[in-house]
Order: sequence, then C-alpha cells, then structure tokens
Amino acid sequence: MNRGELSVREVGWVAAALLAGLVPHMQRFPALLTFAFVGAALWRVLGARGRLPLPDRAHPALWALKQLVAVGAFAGIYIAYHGQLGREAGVELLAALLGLKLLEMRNARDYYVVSFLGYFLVVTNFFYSQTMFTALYMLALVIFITAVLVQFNTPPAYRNSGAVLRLAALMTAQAMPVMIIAFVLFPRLPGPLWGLPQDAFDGVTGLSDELTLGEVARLGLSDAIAFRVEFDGAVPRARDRYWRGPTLTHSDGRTWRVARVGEAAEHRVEPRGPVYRYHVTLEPHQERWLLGLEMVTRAEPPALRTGDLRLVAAKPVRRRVSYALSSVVDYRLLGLSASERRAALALPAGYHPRARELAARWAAAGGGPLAIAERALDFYRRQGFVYSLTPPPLPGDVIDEFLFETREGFCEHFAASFVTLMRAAGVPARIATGYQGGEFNSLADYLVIRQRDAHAWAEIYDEQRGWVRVDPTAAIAPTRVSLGLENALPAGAGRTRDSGDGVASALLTRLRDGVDAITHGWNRWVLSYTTLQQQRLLERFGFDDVDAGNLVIALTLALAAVTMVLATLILAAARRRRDPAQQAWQEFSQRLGRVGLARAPSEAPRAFAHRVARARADLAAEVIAITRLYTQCRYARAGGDARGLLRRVRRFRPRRR
Amino acid sequence: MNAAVAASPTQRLDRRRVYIFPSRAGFTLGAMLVVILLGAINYDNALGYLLSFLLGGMFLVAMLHTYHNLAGLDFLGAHAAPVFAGERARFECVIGNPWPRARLALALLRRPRGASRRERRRLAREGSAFDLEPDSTLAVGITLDAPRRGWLSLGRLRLESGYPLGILRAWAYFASDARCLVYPAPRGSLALPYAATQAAGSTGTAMLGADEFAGLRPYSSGDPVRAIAWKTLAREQQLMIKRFHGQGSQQLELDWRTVASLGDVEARLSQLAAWVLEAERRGARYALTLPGHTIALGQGTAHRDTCLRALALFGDDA
Repeated sequence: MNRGELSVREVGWVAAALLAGLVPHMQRFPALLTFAFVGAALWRVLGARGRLPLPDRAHPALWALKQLVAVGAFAGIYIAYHGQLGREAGVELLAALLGLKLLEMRNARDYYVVSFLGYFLVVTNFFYSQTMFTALYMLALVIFITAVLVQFNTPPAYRNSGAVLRLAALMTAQAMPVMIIAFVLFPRLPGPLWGLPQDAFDGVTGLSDELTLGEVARLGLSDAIAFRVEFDGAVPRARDRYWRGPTLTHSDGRTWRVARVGEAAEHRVEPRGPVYRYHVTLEPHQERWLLGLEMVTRAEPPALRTGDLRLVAAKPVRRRVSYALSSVVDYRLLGLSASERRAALALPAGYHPRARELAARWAAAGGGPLAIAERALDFYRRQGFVYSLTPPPLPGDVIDEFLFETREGFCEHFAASFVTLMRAAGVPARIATGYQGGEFNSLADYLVIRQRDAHAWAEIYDEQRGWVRVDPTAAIAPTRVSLGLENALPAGAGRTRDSGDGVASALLTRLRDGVDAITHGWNRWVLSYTTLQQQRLLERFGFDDVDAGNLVIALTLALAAVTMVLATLILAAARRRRDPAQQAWQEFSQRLGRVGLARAPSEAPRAFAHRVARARADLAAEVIAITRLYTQCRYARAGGDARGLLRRVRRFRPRRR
Repeated sequence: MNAAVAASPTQRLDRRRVYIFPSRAGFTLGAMLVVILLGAINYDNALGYLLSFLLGGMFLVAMLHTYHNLAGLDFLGAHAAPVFAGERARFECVIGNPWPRARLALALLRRPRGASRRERRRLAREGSAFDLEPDSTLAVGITLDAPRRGWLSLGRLRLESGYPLGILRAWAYFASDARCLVYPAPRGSLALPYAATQAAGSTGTAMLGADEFAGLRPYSSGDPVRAIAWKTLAREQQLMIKRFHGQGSQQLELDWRTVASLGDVEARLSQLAAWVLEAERRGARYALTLPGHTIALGQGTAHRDTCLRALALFGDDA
C-alpha cells in the first residue's frame, strides 16, 4: 500500500543496524570516514524528526554539500588506495555508499535496498575474520537486520520492539536448519571463479623455506598456532614427534635454501615400527609445503607426497587446510641420486676454513658416516656449547664463528654447522626444517603445534641405513626435544609465558585449552569444510560415490524435508493457544449453521441465542444454557469452565426440522 | 446487510487458493544472495557460505510465515449501500480471522480479470490496508467509481500481504458476486410537477390540514423519529408511524411522460430521480410511472428507495 515518509523509528532502526555492522571495521577506517558515516546517520534521523532539513532537491545548498562530501569520499578512497580496488578500499567504498544511501533514503524501495546492503556489510567482515565470534556477531546482525525489516512491515499500531525482535530471532532460528543442511550438502566448487585481490589474505609468517644464520629467532617466542593434529589411535612419543617441512640443501655460506636438484631419486621408506594415522589442520602460511610426521608413508589429497618424500599442496596454502596422513617414526629411508649426492656434499668455495679443517681430521680418523657424526656431536657436548634464543651476532664467517668463538645458538645454528661439518667430512647431509614436539590440548584429544615449536635438524646419508636423522640440538639441550622449548632455556632467559605456579595458572591453561578446542572444532568442521571433508562426512553416513549431481539431489531432498517440518511447525504455532471457549463457540455455531441457523459474523452471542430460541423452541433451553456458559467464559471476571463448555457443545446435536 | 452477507457462501483461503511470489524487494535480496554466494565460492569463505545459506533459509521461512499470514482467512461476503451515479460506491467486504493469531499488514484491493498493468497499479493504490485481530471479523471498505446507473459489480477481489519481511507477497482471489445499486444522478432543472397533480385532481386528501391525524401505519426504516407513535408502542407489536395530512403531504405524479421534453433517456431518469429526492425532502406523497412499471403513491425512505431502484434499473431486464 501507499506509505508516506519514513518515520523516525524506521530510519533509526536501519541506521542503528548499519552502525552495528560497521563497528568491527571502524578500527581500520580512517577517522574521517567513521565521522562522516555517523554524521550522515544522525542527520537522517534528525531529518526524519523534522529537526533538520534533509539534503534533497528542496534544499539546493545542502544537496550540493552532500554531493561534495560524496565526491570527496570517493576521491579520497581512490587516492588513498591508488585506484586499486582491494579489500580495504572495497569496504570503505561500501561504507561511504551506505552513508549516502541512508541520507537519500526516501521510500520503501530505498529502505529495502539500505537494509539489504546491511546484510552485505556483514559479509565484508569475513574477509578479515572468520572466527566463531565473528560468526556469532553475524548471527546477531542478521537478527537485527531482519528485525529492521519486520518492524518496517508491521503496522505502526502493532510495533512492539520486543515482539519484533522475537519474531526476527524466531525466523533466524527457523532458517538455521536450512543453513546447516545447505552448508553440508552444497557442492563445493574448486578454485576461484575470478581473480582474487592481492590483499584478500593476511600474510602469516611461519616457518621459512630459507634459513639465514645470525638473524633474530623470529619464531622462537611466538605462541601462534602452526597446526593441529588429531591422531586416530596411538600417538608417538614427544621425542619422536619431528614434523618435517622443507629440507634445505643449498648453502651460499650464510643462507641455506631449498635446492633445485636436477633429478631426484625415488625415495623408499621401509617401515620398522607401527604406522600412525592422523589428520593435520594447517594454518595458512602462503607456501606450498605441508608438514607431516617424519616419515610420511601415505598422504591423502589435498596433501601430495612427491617421489623424494616432500609433502606439498597443489597451491600455496592461503587458507586453513586439513589433510590425512600416515607416518612411521621408525624407518629406513633410501634413495640418493648422483645429482642429489653432489648437492648434499656441496659447500661454497672459500667459506668455513676452520670447520673444513676440523672435519677433515675426523674423516681421516676413519669410520663410517655415523661414526663421524658421533664425533661431531661429541664436539658439541664437550666444547661448552650453550643453547640460547638470543645468541650474539655472527658478522663474519657464520659457521666458523659459531663453532669456534661464540658457541651460543639455537637449533638453526646447530643444524647448519653440523651439516657443514658433515659435508666437509665427505658425508652427504642436509638440513631438515619443521616443528618438533607439540602439546596436547587438555580438554580435547588433539595436539597443538605452535610457531615456537619450530625446529631445524640434520639428515646424513649412510649407504646402509639410508637417510639418518641427527638432531645436534638434542645433544646440547636434550629437554628441548623431549619437553619443549620452555624447558630447554635457563630460568629467566626469554620465557614465553608467565608460568606462575598454582591454581590460577592451571585454570588459565584449561581455559585456554577449552577455547582452543572449540576453535579447533570450528576450524576443522566449518572453516576448512571442503570437498574432501564433505566426502568424508557423507561416507561416514554410508554414501559412497559423492559427486556434485548426487549432492544437488540430496540437497534438494533434504531441503524439501526440512521445509515440510518447518511448515508443520509454523502451522501448529499459528493454530495453537486456541482458547477452548472460543473453539467451543465456533463448533456450536457450526452445528447450528448445519441445521439452517447460521450465525451472522457480527451477531453477538446473546442476540444469536435469542434468534435461535425463537426459531426452534425445542433447542431453546440448551442453546441459551450454552450461550450463558460461553459468555461466562469469555466475559465474566471469574471466568468459566471452558472445558465443560466444550464437552457440552460436543453433546449438542441439533437436527434439521 | 447481515442477510446479504449470509447469502453469499463463505470462502476460506486454503492451500490451493493462496499464491506466493517474491516481491521486487525479494528479487533484490535474491540477487544480493547470489552475489554473496558467488563471493563465498570464489574466496572459499566458509562464513560467506553460511551467511548466504542463512539468508536463503530466511527466504524459505519468510515464505512460510507470509503464507500463514494469509491462509485460513474467510471471505464472508461483501455489501454496498446504493449510491448515485457519479459518486463512489463503498463495498463493505467482511473478512474473518477464525484463528488465534493476529494477521497483520493485509491489503484488500480489486483485481478484475484481464486488468491492464496500469489499471492494476491504480487499483493497488486504491486498496485498503487493515489488520485482523485473533478470532475477529472486520468489514473492509473498498470504494470504486460508480459512473453509470444500474448494477455495479465488485468483481474479483485480491487479498494480499507481504508481512513479515516484505520480500515475498502472498495473495488470494475472492470471486465476489456482490453488486451495488447505482441510482441515476439526480439532475435536472424542471420544477416539481405540482400543478399537474393538482389538476389531475387525484384522491383529494391533499387538502387536509397540516396537523390532522390520519391514522397509523407500520414503521419502515428511514421514517422520521419524531413521527413514531410512542404511546402505541405498549399495545402494538411493532413500531407505528403517525400519519398526518397537511401541506407537506401534497401528492405528486412523477411520470416518465412529463419529462419527455428532455429527450434523452438518461436525462429523463436523472430528472425523475431529482424529483423523487425533492418530493421526499418536502414530505410529499408521490407516485412514479415508468413505461411498463408503476409505483403507487407513497412516502418515506423505503418508498423513495423503491422509486430510485426502478429508475436505476430502468431498461435493465435483469
């Protein structure tokens, strides 16, 4: 129907909803934009009250001002982002647009558009955060915006904020089953449909694929989670939990890198112990490599195991990814091509003369690679090496200075110097990087590996045993490997957390673990719910052969079923709470209607009774009695026996004459 | 009025009669939903998926709510008091809500079959908005132009509602056989034909004094209250009207032939209608003679209406 001007209440509701949607963005917005938006919202509300003229055509000066602000806002955003419409610029443009649209809002059509843009605003939050808190915030906003629509469609006489919000919340709750079913069954399409803006993902620095000695230990102190692991069944011991990432073979004397080897040998793993099966949920690190327990025997997509046993993803990991692996911790790893051997023995010419000299002496003393390695570890143990996260800088030849002067460092120093020594002694060696250890969440059965668990160790090649892991750090600080970083450090030396003793700390740990357990479930089942998880879940329910076609059919059927359930529930709700007296009266009228004594819609009970009594003397007594009972039930202060009335009505069977 | 309403059968809106379709706002939201979903697919954004599915679910739920806002209502009939041509007829359409839940933001409008787009838009603007309390009935007024005398049919009615979100519109049609009697527009400059009746020298009672009591007759609706014989009420079964003869009780013969000079049929009927009103206003007794149809002398609103009805339906065999 025709609607007049938008009321203060209507304008106020939608403005409040938009503001609520913008709150999370405001920390990122330039202050001027926030100010302009709040100003526009206030202006519109005051305009609806008649306190301020609105910037429409009737007020050319104000209209010009509005146009000027609009042009200014768009130009400002364009200049600030150099014309690149990325994530930030997009959100700011949307906010500017919404502010303007709010000011211009005149009729029902504008009102709907502005409200729907509010829903759109909710989405923009997801580019920044997809935590469970964000999801709850989304839910609250959806209820709010739905309430905006409900109150707009409710006639003013019935507008009761509580009832409007209740209905909006009820409708949202009723929509949730649909959401869940669609989320589970909607076929997931692989890959982006169009290009992604460059700032679509936040860069997360994790383990690096190169290692430069002498830099600050970036990861050492970070509590950020690198990945989480759920084991199916047995769990390996902490000191066997080496989470292998990229191996570094090429050195320029200071920096170690992943080498491009001409031809990689087919590596072969011979298991010598139990196989562990587990799921890894990896936080995005923008790289292709994945992490797995050393040594991976089987990988399921999206994890791929290359011939030389590297674990990679098809594309850089830009969002949380979950994959299933099988590993053995006791194994024999064979395979070394000629070119790999050359790479694993190469040292930059002219570097590390003292290390080469020391290694040459060990090589001359004879024995296999394992004996030489033992000599090196002995060297670390006996020559006063110290494990430290804040070692002194190494300005010169990093390896020589570390080995013969400072003798203070962390895993990277030990691994790099050890590999250098091995190569100098003629033993093929490389650095393996990854994480070591990890701690169990105390409330849920999974392992959390944090950035501070990052680690580097060495692998040497023995003709009989194949690649053998040697962790020189373990030789110096055995607890680093068996108990974790915190216990490897001397007291007060860069502890990561307040490890205050007592109940409070235990409680805090439990609280943190509880929150993380929920987060992990959320990450695993919502955020990294992809084609693979979808298949796995449906297989668990006994559906094999899941493809998009089947999914669409299943989705349609499930939605039809849930619609039917919802329809029944909503219908029942619409017909419930029927007043028994009213019901009795209705039945009574129907019974009389069937014998030709229909009650006119506007006929009052008593008038109707008298009319019937005059027409049918035989029914008069009963009709008058029932009517009296009914009026008692409906109108008497004390009320009446509604159930008795209903029974009496049902016994009343008038016949046609 | 009650009789008229009861005569037409109640029409209940059951499942087969309620239609539902997204409104323009609904299509806008739908388009936005598709954009959100495409974005969610492109960015593989789980919360984007969740939001688009939640809004999709909201659409579905809104459909059920909108449907239930309309379903189960009763159309109990419509009735309109006669009007004169050129006026607007007002049909009282009685809608019943026999359920324990209020129905909000309903609109009733006319929607004749085959109405043009423009016509539909005009009729939508003319519709009336109303709400229904639980277990209630309400007479909703629908007004429409009555340009010509005769019967004016209400035609098909459309009951619609977009409650609660406005993104969907549910509607249902009621076929109503209600019609409004349209009297000829009272128009014409000819003076009341007093002379003619007096010259004809009819029954002669016209000469009686103004305050002379001339007996009682039963009350008929429209009679002046001051003429009711209150004293007789106690012994009589029904209300009686005291009849007087006087100068206000002149007798008039309103004859189709007297207005022959006007030529046009409608002009003659209009003149006669104007005379009927004038005669009634003056308290005269009048008779109406039309070709093939004569109404004897009488007075009072019932008589007036009989005359006007005959004029309205003149030439109408129905």
